[in-house]
Amino acid sequence: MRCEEAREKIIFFEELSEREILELLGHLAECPSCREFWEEEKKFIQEIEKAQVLVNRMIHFSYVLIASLIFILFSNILSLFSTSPAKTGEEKKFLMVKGNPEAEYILDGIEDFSLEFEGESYKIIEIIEEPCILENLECKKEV
Amino acid sequence: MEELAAKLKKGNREAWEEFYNMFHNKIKTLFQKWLNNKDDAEDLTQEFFLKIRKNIKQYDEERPFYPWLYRIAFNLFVDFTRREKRYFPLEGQNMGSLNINYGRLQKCIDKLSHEERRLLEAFYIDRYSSKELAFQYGVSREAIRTRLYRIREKLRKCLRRGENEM
Repeated sequence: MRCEEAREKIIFFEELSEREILELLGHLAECPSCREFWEEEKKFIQEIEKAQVLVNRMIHFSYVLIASLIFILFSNILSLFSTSPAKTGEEKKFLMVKGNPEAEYILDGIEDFSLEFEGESYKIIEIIEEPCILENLECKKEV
Repeated sequence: MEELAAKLKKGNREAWEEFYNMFHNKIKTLFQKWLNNKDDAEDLTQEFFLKIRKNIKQYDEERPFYPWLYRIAFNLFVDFTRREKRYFPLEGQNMGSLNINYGRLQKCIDKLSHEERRLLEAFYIDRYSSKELAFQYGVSREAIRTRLYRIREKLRKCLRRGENEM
């Protein structure tokens, strides 16, 4: 087997039949320069694979980043609608508090703007001076 | 063969027996031929089976089993001759001296033409076979193999001589 033929076969090693593999390896065992080519091809494939893993990770990271951005954007859009009860008509009860540590804590931590009170769920939309409950857009006295 | 490999991956004891019976003599003969030493060939054969057992989970069932096996056998042989200086004492010192790192490789790949890069990526990254590529490019399999070989030679020269000499 000529060296050039052997080197071409090294590149296409996975496509060779068992007979071809044995022929090639027989040549490699006796030919130091082709063995060197074999080693180089091994390193080359490793580097290409490493690079591919890197690219895959970057792609994965970008997907996660894009998904997160879409989620944040979508949540913001939703929260815009949820603070406009007149538009959606879905939220009927709102709790507006000033100086209520629990409510302020929730507003600080902010993932969910709702608050339980006397078995009812209230949506906090704003901190105001006087604590009161808005029901059907009418503010009632004292929580 | 790939079915046997799938069974080996699942740890099927009968499959391991079948595999051992099928390959023990073949591999031993191969090592003996390469090393011209019965004892070393026997040691390396044992090492081969241990390595296969250890790495079988990494075998990709979508790819042919024979090349995977023989690649491991030959790499073991190369490592062994490097370890045992009495085999190929002179050549062994230079083997694998080419330092390939991703940055340098990327620079060399960037110097290829757009067509060459596409072909290289299709083969090495997307894992198309030369047959599939021949079909896609509308040329013979031999033509694809020759093109890829030339691209690899270009890269090899670039990696070996430095990025400016391509």
